[in-house]
Amino acid sequence: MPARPESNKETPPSRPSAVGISVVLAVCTGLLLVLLAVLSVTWSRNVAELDAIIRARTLADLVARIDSGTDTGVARIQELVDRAKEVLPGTREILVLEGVTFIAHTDPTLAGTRLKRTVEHKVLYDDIDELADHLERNAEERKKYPELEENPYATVAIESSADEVYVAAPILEGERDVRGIVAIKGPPPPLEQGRFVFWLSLGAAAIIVLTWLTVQFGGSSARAASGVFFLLATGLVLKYHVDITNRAVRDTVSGTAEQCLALWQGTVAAESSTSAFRAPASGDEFLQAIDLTRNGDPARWFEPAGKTGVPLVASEAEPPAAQQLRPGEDLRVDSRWIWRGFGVIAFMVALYIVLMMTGKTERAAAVFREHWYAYAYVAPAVIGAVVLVFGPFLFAIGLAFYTRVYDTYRFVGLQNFIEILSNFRITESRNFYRTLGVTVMWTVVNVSLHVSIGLGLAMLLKDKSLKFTPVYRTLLIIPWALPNYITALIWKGMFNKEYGAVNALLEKLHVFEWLHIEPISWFTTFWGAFTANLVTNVWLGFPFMMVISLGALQSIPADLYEAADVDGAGRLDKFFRITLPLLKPALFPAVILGVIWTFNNFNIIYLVSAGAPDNKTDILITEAYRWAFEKYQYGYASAYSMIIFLILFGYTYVTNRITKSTEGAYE
Amino acid sequence: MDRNATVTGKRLANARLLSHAVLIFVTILTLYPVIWVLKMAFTPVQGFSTSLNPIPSNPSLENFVYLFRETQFVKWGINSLIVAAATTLVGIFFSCTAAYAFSRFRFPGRKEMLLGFLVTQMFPGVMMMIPLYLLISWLGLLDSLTGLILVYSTTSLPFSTWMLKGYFDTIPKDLEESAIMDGATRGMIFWKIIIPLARPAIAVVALFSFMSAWNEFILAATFMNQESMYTLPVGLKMMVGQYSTEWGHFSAASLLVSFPIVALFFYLQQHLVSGLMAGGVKG
Repeated sequence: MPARPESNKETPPSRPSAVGISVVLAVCTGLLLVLLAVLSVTWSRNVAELDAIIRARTLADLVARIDSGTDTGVARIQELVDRAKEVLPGTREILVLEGVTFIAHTDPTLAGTRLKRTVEHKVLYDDIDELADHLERNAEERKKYPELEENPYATVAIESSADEVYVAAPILEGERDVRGIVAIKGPPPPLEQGRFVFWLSLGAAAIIVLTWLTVQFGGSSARAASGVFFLLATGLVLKYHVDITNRAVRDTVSGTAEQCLALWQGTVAAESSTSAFRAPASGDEFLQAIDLTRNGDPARWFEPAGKTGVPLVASEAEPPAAQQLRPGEDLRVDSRWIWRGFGVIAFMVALYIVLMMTGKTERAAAVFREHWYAYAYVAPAVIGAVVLVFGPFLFAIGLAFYTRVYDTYRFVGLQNFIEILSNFRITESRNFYRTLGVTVMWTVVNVSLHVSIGLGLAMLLKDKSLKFTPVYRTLLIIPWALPNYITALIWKGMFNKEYGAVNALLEKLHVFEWLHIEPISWFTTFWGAFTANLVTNVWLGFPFMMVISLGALQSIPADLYEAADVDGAGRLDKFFRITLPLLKPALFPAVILGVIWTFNNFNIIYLVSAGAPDNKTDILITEAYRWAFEKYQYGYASAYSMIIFLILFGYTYVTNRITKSTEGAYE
Repeated sequence: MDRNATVTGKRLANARLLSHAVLIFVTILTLYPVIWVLKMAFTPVQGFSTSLNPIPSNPSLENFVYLFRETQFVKWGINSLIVAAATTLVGIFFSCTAAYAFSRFRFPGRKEMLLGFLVTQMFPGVMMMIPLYLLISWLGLLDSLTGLILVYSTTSLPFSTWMLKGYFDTIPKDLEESAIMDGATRGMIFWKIIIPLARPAIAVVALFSFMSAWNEFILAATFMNQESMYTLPVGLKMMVGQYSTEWGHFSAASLLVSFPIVALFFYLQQHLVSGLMAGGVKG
């Protein structure tokens, strides 16, 4: 990362526009470098993924040729796996799983065992579970969207993290039947670009200094020229960077292809000396045979060169010789974003030049010069908020108008909103209006219980002559102090049918006997689960209202009550005429806040009932989460949460209108 | 006169008795789950026991030993600690500088920025989660503490800034003016006058952001897939996940995790209420 723009602000300028232009250039270059660094990471990961896909697909296709039903077949698969680990450098782990049995595994203690989630193999189990799940989802998506057949990413499952890539490929029997999976834990991303970014920043700094000098000592035409020079230099540097990256990508992928080909040829020669299969002659041809460069769309991030297709599984037939595919030439990283970024910066520089010519920058610079320290103080917070709060928010709004098909997004206009809002079959558990109803009921019941219990306890506790009030107060606050996810999980256990404390207590109190019912299975009915959520959240939420009410009650002057006594007012009179009106200023904001918190109370619903039964107790916010992170419908989920936002926005607007509580908040 | 006094006295005594009865009943209800956790933590059986007796029949520290020996509890604790501490440091530093500028300087864009910070408090968490998830995975920061720190500290910035600004506003300006007379620079004023004077407020805001990072569940659960990168909330949730319900281990872990936070909470509760309400009314 280059020096922050503030560093330029530290020195008082001799000529504002010179500093202005160098700030603009520094910001531009900084943004470009960040973009480049981020893209480099992405490219790196994509190459690693592509690499791992080639390996996984090769092995899956090879394993598919060997009959795993016989002992000799299993031994041969194990042999293949062992050889693959040797031949393919960087491979950390290979496993072949059919059903729940490891047909082969690079860890010899695991080969032949069954997949179980023991303490020792929890991670392995979870990883495989995830991969298998992912494969299944991809298979479904492919059924829904035939064009995905063209996308190699959709035929495998990938879980990549910072230091490794985990890829699973299905072992296909015939065209469609899946016999098992091959999973490979691959090498870390192979492209190392840190050094380049360093040189690039150095170059950028040189360009900026040069430009600054031109501006400092030149007229306005020299400044314009320096802007053009800056753009030209940056463009060339970027082009060079993209080129060397492409070369690295080609080398990496071709290298892997050659290794896989060697493995393929060795195995196929041993397996089917009589078969009609002709092994591909070169790594490039091989890539084509295992179907990765089919239709010239080797991967979503790599730009295509138009090609015709070959079947999904490398066939026994000869690879079409007519297709002279050279992936070495065709594999290119997707550099569109870097050029888009460059375009934006070119636009900014052009805008700057125009503004400078019209004298607007002079005025801006004057304002800036006067307040530069203030801007320096707020800059980190504001930049952080813009990048990680406002940016994502705007992105989410945009996303609401798209739908996600596998890994691509399609603009659908208002379709998501229409789908959510035009479904009036409120008996369905995932219907929006039903969920809204549940949410409103959840909020209203919760907040009224919080306030009445909290206020009631506060009325008892405010009596100064009562002994032990500090003890009660401290003990009663405990639920608020506990982390709420822990509370939620405890209550989930307490509501367990067989061994939960709630049923045990009801049993001991003979409640079930009196009512002639069986012990309650809390999470199988809507009302049971709703009650469980409600009890948890009431337990969790009343202390806040209690503390707020107690503070407010104690600030009510005692002479008001004395005066009321003199006038002969009763208890109820005092409560409704003195206590409540005087509590209102403190309680009203607390209630407004409480409503928003409860409306959005994700943890309780997600952890206690988890929407059970059948998503019926889900509230809007958990439903939106499920659409996003369980169904991966990001666009739909964004639209859903935007509706939630609008509801809350409307609510806040109305309550603000009533209380005017934001008045004077800026001073 | 005398008779009247004793009657009121008796009524008062009765009322007090009733108050005590209600308060004791509610307190027992409130403490019931907590006592259960205590009991289970010291009971070496992984199921819930159905007996109502709050004292474990054969108490042992087995669950705690298991936590430290057999699970990654310590690793999760370290992760949580790193994330919460870094979030607090980053968040506090930047919100202090911003709050100072918002409180003391009048500059073009100030109102807009303050209003912008306020508006962020209304953005629903789940709506932010999708783009943040995409952004973090695009940056290759899934399964890394850096990603969590980045997200936690920026999302806590607006709230901390508003709270600190409120406090800075109450610090009289005379001090700074006389310091300027004595030739102090703005940096010196910030570091030598404002920060020391605002120490109580900074402590509260710091502990508040520490606690929210320490307790945050859903973002961590979404961003972290590797067991070794879990934070405590995610790890604890996994203990009672769908595969197994290790209630004894979970309870022991809950005790260890909650104790420092409950202690902190009691230490801070007065400030928390006023701070929350100050931020709340404005938000």
